[in-house]
Parts: sequence; C-alpha cells; structure tokens
Amino acid sequence: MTFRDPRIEDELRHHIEERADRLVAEGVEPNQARRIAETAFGDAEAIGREISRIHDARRSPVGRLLDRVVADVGFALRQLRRSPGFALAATLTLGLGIGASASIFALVKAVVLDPLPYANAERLVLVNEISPTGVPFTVSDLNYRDFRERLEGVDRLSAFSRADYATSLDGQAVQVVSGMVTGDFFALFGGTPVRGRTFAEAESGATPAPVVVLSHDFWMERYGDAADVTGSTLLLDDVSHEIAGVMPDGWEPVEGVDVWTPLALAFDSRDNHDYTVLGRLADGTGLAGAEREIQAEAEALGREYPATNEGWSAQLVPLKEAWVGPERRQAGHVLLGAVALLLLMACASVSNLLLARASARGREMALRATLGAGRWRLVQQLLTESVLLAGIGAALGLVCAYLFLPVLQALSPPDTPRLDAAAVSGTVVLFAAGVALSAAVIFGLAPVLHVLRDALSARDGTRTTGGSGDRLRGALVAGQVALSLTLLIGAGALGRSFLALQQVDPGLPTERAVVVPLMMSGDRYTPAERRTTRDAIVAAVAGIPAVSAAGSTNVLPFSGMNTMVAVNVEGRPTEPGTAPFVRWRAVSPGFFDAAALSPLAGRTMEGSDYEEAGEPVVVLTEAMARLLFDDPRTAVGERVAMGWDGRNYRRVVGVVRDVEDRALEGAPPPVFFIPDPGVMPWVNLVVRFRPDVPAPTERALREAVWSVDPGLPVPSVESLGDRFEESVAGYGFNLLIVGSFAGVALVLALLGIYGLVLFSVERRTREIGVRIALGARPERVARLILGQGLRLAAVGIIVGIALSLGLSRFLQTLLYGVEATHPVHFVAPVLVLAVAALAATWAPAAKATRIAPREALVSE
Amino acid sequence: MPDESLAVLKGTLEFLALRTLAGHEELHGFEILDHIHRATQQELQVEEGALYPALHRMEKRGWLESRWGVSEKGRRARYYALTTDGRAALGEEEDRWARYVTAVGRLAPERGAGA
Repeated sequence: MTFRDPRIEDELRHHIEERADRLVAEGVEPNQARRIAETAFGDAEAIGREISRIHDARRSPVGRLLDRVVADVGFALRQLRRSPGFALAATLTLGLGIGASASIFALVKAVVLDPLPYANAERLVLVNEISPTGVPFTVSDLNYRDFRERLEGVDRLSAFSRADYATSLDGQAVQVVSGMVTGDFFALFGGTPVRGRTFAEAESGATPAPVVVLSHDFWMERYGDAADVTGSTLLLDDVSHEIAGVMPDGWEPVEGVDVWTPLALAFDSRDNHDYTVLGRLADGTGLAGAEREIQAEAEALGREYPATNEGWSAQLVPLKEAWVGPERRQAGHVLLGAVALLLLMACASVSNLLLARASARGREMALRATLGAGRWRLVQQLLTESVLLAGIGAALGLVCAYLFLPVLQALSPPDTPRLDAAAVSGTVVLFAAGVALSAAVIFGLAPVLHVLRDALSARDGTRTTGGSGDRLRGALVAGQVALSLTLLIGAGALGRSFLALQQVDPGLPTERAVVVPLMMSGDRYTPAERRTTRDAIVAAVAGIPAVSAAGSTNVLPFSGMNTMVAVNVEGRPTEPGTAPFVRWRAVSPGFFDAAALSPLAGRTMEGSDYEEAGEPVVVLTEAMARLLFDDPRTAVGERVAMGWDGRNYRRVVGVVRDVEDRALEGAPPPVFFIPDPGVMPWVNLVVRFRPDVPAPTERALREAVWSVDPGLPVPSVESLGDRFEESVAGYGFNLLIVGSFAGVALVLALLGIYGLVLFSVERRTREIGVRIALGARPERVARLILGQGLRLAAVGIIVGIALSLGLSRFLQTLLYGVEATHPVHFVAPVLVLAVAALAATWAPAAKATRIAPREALVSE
Repeated sequence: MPDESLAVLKGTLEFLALRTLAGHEELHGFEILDHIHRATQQELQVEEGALYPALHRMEKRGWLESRWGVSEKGRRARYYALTTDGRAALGEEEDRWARYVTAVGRLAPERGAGA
C-alpha cells in the first residue's frame, strides 16, 4: 500500500478544476467539462503515485507513516479552516459536552468513586452488628474485643468514636473535635506522623493514656507552621494531654477531626453499641469469606451471651460504600448517566453536522475517489478529521471543566464530603481524552459510512441521491429527540419531586429560629451539674428580650444524626425482634415551646417531669401514637417502655403533631420525646425569636451561654431554616444539573430537526416545484414537510419513552414523594417536544410552500 | 544526471517549466501549463498531469520551492518559485538546449532566408 499525501491530490484536483472551469467559460456543459478535464489530465492515480515515489524515495516506513499522519492532520486542519462555521459549531458542541462530562466526573470521582485516598482503601471494611430486627448498629465494646481477638479474616480491627472537647484559645472557650481511636487505627489508614509519634494499641482501652495527636490543619491553625509542639500539653475538658505527634497534611480518615486521642474502652457492655469498628481484610481473604466468619462469631457470641447477643448477627460493609452512603452514590450514578446522555447528544449533533458537510462535499469526495484515493484512504482521512475534532473538543472541554468545576462545587450541597478534593487531575484529563476518543468513533462513524457509499457509487458512475445519508441523519435526529426526551422526563420528575419537597411541612417551623449545638461532655460535668447548668443556660437564652422560647434536644435538627430504640406497650408483650423500632429525642424544659409543638391531646412536659421522684413520662408524635394505639386520642394515659422487655414504663402524657427533624425521606416518622434529666452530653439549643422585634445577635446568644458557663464552647449559631435548606440541597442540585442538561439537549435536538428538514427541503426543491407546478396547494406541501419533521419526532419520542422507562428505577432513588413512572412526567415533556418539533419544522415547511416552480425546475 | 537518457519530453517539460518560472515570481501548476501552452502555441501535446511529477522532482532537487496559497479564483493552490539553484540549473539547461538546437539546426535544411 502506498501512503499518499492528500496534498498531492489537492494539487492535482486543483488543476482539473481549473481546466474544467476554463472549458465551462468556453461554453462547455459542466459535466462534460469535467470529463474532458479529467481525460486531458491523464491517469491521475498513476501520477499521484509517481509523485509519492519521488518524495518517499529515501524515507523509512516509519518516516513515511509519520509523513502520512502529519499530512492527514494538516489536511484535516485545512478542511476545518475551509468551513469555519462548521468547525466552530462542532468543536464548541464537543467542548461543552466533554467539559460537562469531565467536571461531573471530577466531582463524582472525589465524592463517590474515590472517597478514601488511602493505600489498600478497597480492603477497608466497616463492621456492623445487626439487631434481631435487621437494623444495623455500631459495635459494643465487649463484642469489639471478642471480634478483634477471634477474627482471622480481618486485620487491625480498630474502634472509633467522636467527642467534642472544650479547650480555650485566647481566653475564649472553643470546641475541639476529637477522633477517639484505638492505636491500630493509624496503621489501618497508613498514617505516619510528620512530627513525634502516634499512640500504641496499649495506650487506648481500659486505661487510656493522656496523649493527643494533632491533625495537620489543627497544628497549622493553632501553632503555626512547623512549630515543634511534641511534648507540650493541650487541655481538653480541663484534662492535660501530652502532644505526642502531628499527622501529615491530608490525612483525614474522618472529616472535621481536629485531634486524635486514645479511645477509652471500659469493656463492660455488650448492648451499648457505641463504637464504629473498622478493619482491613486480611491478605487472601475476600469480603464474602470474612463476612461468613464474622457471622459465625456473632452466632457463637449469641450462644455464649444469650441475654445480650441472642439473635444478633454482623455484617461487613466496604468502607467506601459505607462512608459515601447510598443516597450520594445513587445521585453520583444518575448524574454520570445524565451527562453521558448529554455527551451522546453532542456526538449526535456533531455527527449530523459532519453528515451535512459530507453531502456538501460529495463532489469533492467523488473527485478524490476518481483521483484514485482508495476507500480506506478516504476513511483514514475522515477518521483523522473526527479525531482532530475530538482532540480540539477535548482541549476545549478541559478548559470548560476547569471553569465548570468551581461552579459545581459552589452549587453542591454544602455538607458533601470531600467536595474540595474534586480537581481536574491527571485521571480527569485521561477520562476526557478517553471520552473524546470514543466520541470521535461514535460521531465519526456515520459520515464514514455515508461517504464510502457516496464516493464509491460516484466512481462507479451511479448518480448519488443522498438516500443513505438522509436515512442516517434521520436516525440521528430521532436519536437526539429520544435522548433529549429522556433528560426532559428526568428533569420533570426531579422538578416535581423538588416541588413536593417545598410543600412538605417538617412540622418544625423553621422561620425565626436558630439552633446552637452545645457539647456538655462527661469530663466537665456530673449529671446533676449538667442539668442545673443546662437549665440555667436555657433560662438565660430564653431571657433575652427578643427570644420567645428556648429548649434543647439531644439530636441536632436536620443534621442527619439520629437516635432510635425499640418500644413496647404495657400489656402487649413482644418478642425480641418484633417491637417497633422508632426515633426518640431527650429534651429539656422549654423545648416544645421552642419547637412550636403544642399538644393535640394531653399536655407536653412540665418541670416535675424532670424530677427523679416523679413518674417517668413520654410525649408521642401523632404517627407514634397511631403506630402503637391506632387512635391517637386513646394514647394518653397508657404506658410504654423503651426496649422489648417490659421494664421502666413511662406514662404517655401527651400527643403532638408529627415532626421531621432529620431529612425528608417520606411519610413522617414515629417519634417519642422523653425528658432529659441531665444525662445527655448533647445539648442542642433550639431558640425561637419573637416576630415583632429584631432577632438577637449571635454575640448575645453566646454571651447568654457564657454568662452561665464561660468555659463552654459555642461552636456555631445556625438558622434552622438554613439547616433545613441544606438537608434538602441535594434535591435542588440534582434538579439543577439534570434540568440544565435537558435544556441544552432540547436545543440541540431542535437544531437537529430544523437542520435536517431544511436540508431536505433544499434537496427536494425540484420535486416540490413539480408538485406545485402540477397544482399542489401550499397546505399540502406544508403538510408534506411538517409530516417529515413530526415523523422523526414521533419515532424519537417513542424511543425516548422506552429509554426513560428503562432508566426509571435509577431515577427513582433520587425522588422524594413522587413516582418516576408517573404519567405526568411523560405527558408534559412529550408535549413540549412535539410542540417544539413542530416549531422547528415550521420555517422549512413555509419555505417549501414558497418555492417557485420555474426556478425549481432549472435549479439542477 | 541519471535521468538524462530518459525521454526528451521529460527534460523538455522541466526546461519549459523552469523558463516559465524564470519570468514570474511564483505560479501554480495550471498557470505554468497555461504559459507553456501559449509559448508553444499548443504544439506540445502531452497529458497535462505529466507536469506535476516534473515539478515535484525539481523541487526535490532544490531547483524549486513551493508554498500553498490562494489562487485568484479563491482556490487553494500550490505555488512554485525558482530557487537560486534553479536559476543556475536553468542557465546550464539553456546552454545545453542551445547546443542541442544548434546541433539539430545543422542537420536540418535551411529554409526561407536567402533561398
């Protein structure tokens, strides 16, 4: 095979064209002129080969290959320069498509695909104990010890818990978040300190050593760069801790941890499931094998300690999955899917542009085939053009990704972990290159097929009608309609879900209210001190003139945190595993007023309910009362107990309306409230402001807390409304992304329909002219053209509906309170598309009716 | 020169192209051929395409240089120009042609003048 420089063909073709022009100027009919010019020129193919040989004489095969590539790229570049409109449209479409894909990929990679930047991260597992009712729990200390001693398939089993300590900085109480861990935790995540040491396994446990290891951020913020602070001390809740070491920058297995301290494990309980337990699969052990082993051990523990462990099992969850969580993973997958649809859409658009140009270049291609370019040569050149387009698109796409990513990060739900880690990294560049190359193959294929047929039939002397090109373009446009409909349906469903969310009443009025999370940890207060301090703080805050009510709860509203327990009703004994498992909240005096929860039946809590001497009481939400007593009104006066063993009954004194304080997930959950007599270290103040006066300042709220206990950190004051918005921000983000993709896709699809129909009107000018000459009325002509556009749209719509139904189960995971397959999600987008398709076809149809028969007949 | 024994035509075409280019700053192939046709009053009956291997060969030898430009009609065309080497070569070729023509002239009977 001789490798030919397409510039040789260019030169020879130029000559033939000049000659033909000259002949035409002399009055020869154009087709005739071309034939004469070609004959006069001689055997163009042989001449081309001879010229190639002149140049190739001393070139090695590699050199020739290189020449050919350089020549092909130059040729492709010239082709693009020759039609700048096409080049601009194609590279911009690709650039935006690749840019959107790369930025979404960068985001999803950091947050979902690659959340653990540690060695052997894929072998890290989380241990859950599974209750007899199938609910996953963290692990109790004795069970942790036994698992650690007995399991062979899991190494370096480590326990983790979190504590918020108070310390002082510049005379002000500040909160320090501590990751309390057993010594092996550091090795589990490959943490080598940059200063000093970590602590050993023996330093945690029953008698933890008073040492602390600083995170890099904390070290930098508090002590400044490179200060050697090892050996000095840090006060945590008034207890002096020796600084043992400093961890490296970026070593952050748990987000937001300031310091690491040895975990105190009393080894005295099997049913307080307090510890997050992590480990690494041993070499040669798979997840399934290790899980079988831990299940067998859990069963063994059940036999050994039936009182606490009977019916309990255990599971291992890959840490990556556990820490990303199903919601984020599903959202990540749906966003990747949506951007893939958008990218396919962009490919179809570029393919369409290439096909349109291929038709325009039909003569050139035919001539080049005459000049002896073999069919593979033409294919090579076309593919070079596609790859070049994709290359420019990829470069443009990376620039776009670089610009889009900060916008995506700013729009993402603020609580998204590892959001900052998203970057246009080497992997993202590779991804973009891969995407561009696949895109080049996808959009380059149709023009190749078309040009091959056209060029070859031209060489064989058959007249080209462009039939194959029209069919291909029709299929592409129908595909575009299908893709854009799929995105529109998705965006519509997300939009309805978003609206549904706006109408949901969390039951906790969020306007004119703030939350102030406080941590009153065990080292600073006895329960009695904690209760008096807390009550004094609540009173001090409630005493601020602009505050109408204040109270506290153990779970910070809309933080995603939760506390759950089994309940049973007096006189209705249950078996382990059959009792309902529900949310509970321990609250201070004033909470119900601050939360604006008035009793629907009975009363809320009173001061006497907090006294040890009084009868234990409980307040139920409506859903809770309905769950236990069917009719909520009959609940008051009944007795219920936490757990299933019928001890420690509490009297139901009231029922309040339903409350959702976590994240909106569906029907309002059953919740019950108990008075907290000072046992809970988590004191999250809920403060409601008076509507008639300006809200108090953050400073005033902090001062009120510090007027009672100047050593208690007040890490934040947050608006309850903002917290609620944040908890549902993910829905808005998904809607925004899929919605804007759908918008872009719709525009591309309409441009596709418009372009194709217009093109076909131009091609059929003669036929239409004949029809008009034969007396066809304009409406008939218009109907003919409109019909063509609408047929395409109809095919696309049918395929799009099928595609949407196929993908609906993925979409469903992101929806709140609506069904992905609800007919409304289909009807509206189909109508939008149909009307838009009609509009896009209108102008070409109108143009067709204005074709003058005489001009049409002489146009060829 | 290894080609010297080849067909006269080839040498002739090269010579004619060199001479044409000597009178212009730069020309594309069709213009060169056009000039040759006019100069030879259409006597030279060759396949037009044959010019191109000649041009490329001379470029390879360093007699010509070429660039892509846009023709008067707005088409992309390859323009050729004579190099210094090419000018020297043309001088030699002209000498050779002069000798050739003289030789041929001696063989041919005189016509016209003085008859």
